[in-house]
Amino acid sequence: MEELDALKSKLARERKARQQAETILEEKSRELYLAHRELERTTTKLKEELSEHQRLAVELGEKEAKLGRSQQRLSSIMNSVMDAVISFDGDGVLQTYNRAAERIFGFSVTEMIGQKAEILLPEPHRGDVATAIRTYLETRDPGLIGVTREVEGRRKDGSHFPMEMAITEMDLAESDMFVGIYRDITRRKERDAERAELERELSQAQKLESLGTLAGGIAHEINTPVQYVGDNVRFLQDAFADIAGVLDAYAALAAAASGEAGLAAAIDTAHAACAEADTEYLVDEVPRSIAQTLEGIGRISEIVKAIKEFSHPDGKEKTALDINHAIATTLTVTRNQWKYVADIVEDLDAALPPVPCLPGEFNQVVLNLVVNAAHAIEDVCDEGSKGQIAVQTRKDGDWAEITIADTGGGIPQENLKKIFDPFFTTKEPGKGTGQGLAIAHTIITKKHGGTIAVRSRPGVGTAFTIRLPLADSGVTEEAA
Amino acid sequence: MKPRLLFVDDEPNVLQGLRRMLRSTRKDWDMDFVTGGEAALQAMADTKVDVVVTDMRMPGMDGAKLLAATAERHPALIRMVLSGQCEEEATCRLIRTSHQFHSKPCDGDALTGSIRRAIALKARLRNQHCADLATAVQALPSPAPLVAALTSALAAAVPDLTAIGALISQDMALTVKLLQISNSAYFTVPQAVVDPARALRLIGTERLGVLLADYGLASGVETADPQFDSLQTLWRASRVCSAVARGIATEAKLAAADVEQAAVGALLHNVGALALAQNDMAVCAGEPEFGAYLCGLWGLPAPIVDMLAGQHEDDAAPTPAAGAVRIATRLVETAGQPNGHDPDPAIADGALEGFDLATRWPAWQTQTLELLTCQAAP
Repeated sequence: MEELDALKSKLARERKARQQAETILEEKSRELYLAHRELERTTTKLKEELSEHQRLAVELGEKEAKLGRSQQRLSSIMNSVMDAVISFDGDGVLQTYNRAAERIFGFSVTEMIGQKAEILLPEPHRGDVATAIRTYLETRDPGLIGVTREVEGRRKDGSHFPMEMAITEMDLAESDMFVGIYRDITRRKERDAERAELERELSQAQKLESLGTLAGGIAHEINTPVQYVGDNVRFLQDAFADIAGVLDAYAALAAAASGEAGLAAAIDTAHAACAEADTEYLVDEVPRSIAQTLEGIGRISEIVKAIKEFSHPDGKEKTALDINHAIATTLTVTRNQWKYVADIVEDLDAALPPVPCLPGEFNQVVLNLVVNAAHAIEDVCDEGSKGQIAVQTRKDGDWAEITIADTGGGIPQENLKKIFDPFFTTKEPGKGTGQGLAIAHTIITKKHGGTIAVRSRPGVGTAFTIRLPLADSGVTEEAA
Repeated sequence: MKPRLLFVDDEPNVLQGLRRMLRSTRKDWDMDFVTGGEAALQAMADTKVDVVVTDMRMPGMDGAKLLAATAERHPALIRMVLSGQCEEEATCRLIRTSHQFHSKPCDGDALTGSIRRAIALKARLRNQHCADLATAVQALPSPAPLVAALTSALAAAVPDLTAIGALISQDMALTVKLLQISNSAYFTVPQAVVDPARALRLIGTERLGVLLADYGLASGVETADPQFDSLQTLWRASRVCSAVARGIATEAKLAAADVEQAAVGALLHNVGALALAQNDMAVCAGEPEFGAYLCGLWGLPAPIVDMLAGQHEDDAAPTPAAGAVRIATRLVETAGQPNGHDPDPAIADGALEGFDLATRWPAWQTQTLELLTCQAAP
């Protein structure tokens, strides 16, 4: 029994041990399960983290590529612009320098990076930009910054050229940086010069055209008095020969009277000489002939004087001009152009003060308007009837106003806007360059700071009104 | 009866000056002075006027219009212009209606001289009716094919002056008209021009083209015209005479200017007959001075006019050029006549000794006849 007990107790012990072992196993198994579960969870998490990292890495790569492309594009833009684009810091030390800059200035990038930007300007202006930037950094006074201006540029070979320069501050937080844009304007300057030359030539051609028109008219105006002055002097020559004959006869008469011999015959001879010479006629006619000769000479002198005044040499500087006198002069030299078709009605304000003017140019404008007015009337007036050209001056505040109005056919509405355009003309070819009014417009508006306006009513007439400032505005050709 | 002159100008001072200047002619001429075209036409309607001298630019009726009206209403008037300045277009309108153009300021002697010359030549005409017909002539007939050839030559981009000059110098009507224009102050300073080629250069091809096309400078007669054949005889005689005279003058070693004068004088030797043929003025056929009057009226240079005036009379001392013309004219007139080989006694006088008349006459005769026979229509 003991054995049984022993067995029983052994069994019990073993059972107990087994139970314990099972419990342990169970616990361990459980621990293992938990551990496994934990491991699984960690693995998943790690996996997740890993894929997140991978995703981020891809994203970063993409971003990097994009940034690279963007940078490439930016640099490509900088290198394809036609203008030189450079950047420099507050000390003027060059940071970037594009391809156009290489082309325009002749320095390569490698030569320029680290150099001062001011070597792109010729000697006397080198300090300007540096000073401007220093002033700007200290006082925030923009000065040169943010303004486009024309300056001289300097190439590597030392030659100078005209360029446009614009310097702006870059919007960067960390440092003072500036961008300079330079444009080579050599071609533009040349084109401007060519255009100015063309305009000058056209204006000259128009002036020659007006002078050519004038020359014929003036020749006729002078020819007429020359004709009758000549005829009168020839008459005086004849008359004097006749009078000399009479004087001879009277001398003979006087001699006869003193000697009393042949007195009657001498008296007859003297009477005959008087009759032959028609002394009564000569006594009347000689003084009249002399008076007309002097009058003719006066007319010629007046015309010659007017021509001299009219063809006033063109100065660049304005002079105080008596507008009324200038208009009267122009009317004298153009008399032949209008006298057959129109009467002039003058209404000139004697109180008009002198006007700052380029006299030659102003005269040309008045000439063009008067001749146009005469042509307008000529086109509509019947044989024997005359039209009217009204010329008026008046002072209107700070302005001198000149109106030249004709009773011609007027300008159709559709042409009214075009009349100041160059080359616009309704005259047949050969009758004008079509420049007259365009040049008048340029002279009045650009060179005198005035205005020229036109009013017209078909069938009634046309009036041009010029307004010139009485105070010299300083507007000159260069500034306009 | 004294000739009556009418002066027209819009400027009273000019008229008074003229009146005084012309005072010395008061015994020879009656003169009226009026200030406009209308007044001038009225004066012509009121009294018989022989010569009108008008300004061009006048208000209302200008000189060109006045002369056009005068040519129509009073064709017998001698019509002259005295003008200082004239538009090209207005001057072109004068080409048919005026006889001479004087430019202001005008030398008094030049003006009175040309009036005197015209009046004197007129007085030499036996029949005054013929004088009136001469003033009415505005252009002379030319062969239409020649006018067409001239027109197309003038239209060329670069006109051939030599070819154009040659065409003109073949035609007496065009030659006389060109000499009229260039010897007066129509377009240029007047010059004593005899050579039609020089007249062409003075007038210019462009202007000549305009005058031909638009202003009736030439009066072309079509080949189909019934008058063409009789005119052709005159034209041919004129061309041959000119060629013969040129040959004779060259042979006699005359100066170049005299050779030219002989050629032109001979070309124009029957200009009177041409004017009469066209205008159906048979009544004047017996007027040998008609051509001289016409050329004098048109202001041709005195040597040419004298040549035409003297060609039918026994001129004691003709100029060498006139001598050549006289021989050539006689050769053309007697060509084909059976008068043997002796020089015509009418011209065989001592004054023509320089030409070796007796020896050369038969050869010239043959040459003239050949030229007349072979001259085809232009």
